Amino acid sequence: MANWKFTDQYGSTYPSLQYSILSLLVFSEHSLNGNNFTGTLDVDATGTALSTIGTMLGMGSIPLSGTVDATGASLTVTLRSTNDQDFTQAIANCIPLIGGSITKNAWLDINTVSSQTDPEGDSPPTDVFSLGVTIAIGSASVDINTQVPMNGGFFYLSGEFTGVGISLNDLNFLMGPLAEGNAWFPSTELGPYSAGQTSFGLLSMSLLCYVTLAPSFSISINSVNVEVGISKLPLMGNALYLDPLGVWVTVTNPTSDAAVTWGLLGSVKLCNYANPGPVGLSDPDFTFDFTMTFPSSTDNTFGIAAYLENPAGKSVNVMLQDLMGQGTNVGIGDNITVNSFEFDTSADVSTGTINEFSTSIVMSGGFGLFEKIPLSVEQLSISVAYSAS
Amino acid sequence: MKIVCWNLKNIGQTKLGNAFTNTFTPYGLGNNVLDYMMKLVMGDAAWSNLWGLAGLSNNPADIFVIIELKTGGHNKNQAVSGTCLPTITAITNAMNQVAVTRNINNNYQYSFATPKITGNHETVGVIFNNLVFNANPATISLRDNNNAYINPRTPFMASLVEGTTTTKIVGIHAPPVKGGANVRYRPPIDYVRKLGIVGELDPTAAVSPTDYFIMGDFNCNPGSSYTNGFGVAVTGFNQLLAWNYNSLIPNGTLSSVRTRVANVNPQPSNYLSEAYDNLLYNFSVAPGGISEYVLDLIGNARNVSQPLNPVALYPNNLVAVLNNYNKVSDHLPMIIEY
Repeated sequence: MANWKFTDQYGSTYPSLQYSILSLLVFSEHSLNGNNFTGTLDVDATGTALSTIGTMLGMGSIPLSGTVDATGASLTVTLRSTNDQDFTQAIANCIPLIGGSITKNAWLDINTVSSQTDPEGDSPPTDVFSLGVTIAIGSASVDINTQVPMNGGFFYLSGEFTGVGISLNDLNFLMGPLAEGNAWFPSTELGPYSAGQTSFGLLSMSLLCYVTLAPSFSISINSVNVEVGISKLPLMGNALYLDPLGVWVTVTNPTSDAAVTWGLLGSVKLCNYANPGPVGLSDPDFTFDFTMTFPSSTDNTFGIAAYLENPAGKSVNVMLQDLMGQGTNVGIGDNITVNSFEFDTSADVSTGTINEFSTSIVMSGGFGLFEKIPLSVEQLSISVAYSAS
Repeated sequence: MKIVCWNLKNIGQTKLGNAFTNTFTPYGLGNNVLDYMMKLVMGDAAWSNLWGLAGLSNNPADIFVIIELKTGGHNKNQAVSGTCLPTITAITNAMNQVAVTRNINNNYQYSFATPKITGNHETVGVIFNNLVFNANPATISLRDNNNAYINPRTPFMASLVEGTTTTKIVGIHAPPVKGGANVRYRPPIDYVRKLGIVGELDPTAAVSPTDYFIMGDFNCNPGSSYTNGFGVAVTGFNQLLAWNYNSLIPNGTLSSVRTRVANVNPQPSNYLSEAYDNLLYNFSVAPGGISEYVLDLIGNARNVSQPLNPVALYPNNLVAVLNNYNKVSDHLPMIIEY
């Protein structure tokens, strides 16, 4: 069978397909039975789009199967590689730190949706071409993925997770020489906040990899970033949540001259009164982000910075209804809006005194003195700053 | 010595991993935003057509200045927070990775100067070759001679020391234009005028050999003006010029990037819109040769997947190149080499 691409059959009907991954991938053979598709990617015939991953995997061909739906005004192609065992072995062999028994599964995903109304000249909005890897973290398993790299250089293998409980020891395989005594985790600095804690939630993980293609192929891990903590912690009924409260840790050069940086971050989220509970956290009305820094050997400062932003410009009345229920009305006008609120403070832990404090609030909507005067006051901001020096 | 300055539009850790479209990535310019940045900053062969410009080499940058580095907080000159340190650490580490891979780490090793907040959720990143400059350079968000910060984003300065010479790297981000035609340049011009009353930027006050570089997003250019209430045209760069700051970037060189192709305009105004970025210098002793450019990464983008046969992507692939460039920034980078 001659080489074939999706654009050979569908390109004229779905013009944006020519700007998708499906315009590049060459199949040495394929079959379509109704919506069911099977085919084999030819790495050499495809060229650049597969040359890097082909070298990583040591494969000249990749079998795929899935569905092709060409009804209506859109073409939806969803394919997955079918040689998981070969993929898994290849990934385990070529990516440091996650090799051997840590890599449980690996595969290739393709998901393209090409609509006849897509803007001209660039890729369809949905055009996924990714490498997925399942790795073992203690007794748990998590999926990390990356858009398939096509160049020598940097690529990220990353994922975000919910409900993944781990111990610190479970991540030691990523931390190189800092694994000893969990040295990568700031237990001492966190003090009572982590004392006695044996289980953490793994919130996210990212491996920054570097591919060298010449003079010889190699992959190295440039850095590892993990975020551990808790998510979806209810603070007030099903309206207000801490999501997440976490410690981020970045270990650079984990396989050689490992160095660690870390910090604490979190978000308080207020769900819309019509969409409460954990489900509503995907689209909260307000998000209040905060970060904390802890004293180190070179800096006696404890600091916290927080800010609320309201990009959708939702009013104070919406905030009150989110907190206290739909229909809550305390007599504030519907146009009063808190555009932003933030504060920063730092304290010298050696003296126990506040070094710096500042806060600002920006509101709009016309109120009080400014409501009736002819000037057009777009926003009112109040800032207060204090410094001990 | 090579300095690259790049406004990277609110760069944070998440943005570094943003990938390009699947049909752009095979061109060989990068797998994602970080990879793309590294190929430019580290003198990769993917941009060999730029290294062929007069006076430019394919050496990695000795100093990389990042405008619009994202941070938490808003208190000027205070410590950064949030995503800022992980971001600049990742970029610095990536530069070191490339240096090691290319076996040039005997000449190039990178550290970053401690960033300080310059404005609301913003700072300036300065990454430098620590085999040339001393470690732990002093950094400060600057005040003017009235001891006031310049709003909304005060200049940030890192003082890099090499032997007896200090190199002052100053990153700025002026406010945007606003208002009617006669006054739209007032906010950025007034900002640039205030640079002229920042004592640390006055070369005549230097007590030891000092080279000065003021760079970033000026949101105006030396030819910009506004009309004040007395009908007088006001320009911004007078004091800096009086201090003998100079730039080899021709006045009016477009540097801000459109979000959509303007097909009716000729190149490069079909993908560039304003002349907002500049890099001013003042040397204590003028070097033998200085070359300075705004690097047009859109008009000069090539398909380098076949290294021996690179193919220009302009004009046939302009939409894809522009859309993918917008994932990196809305400004072109600047470079000076001497």
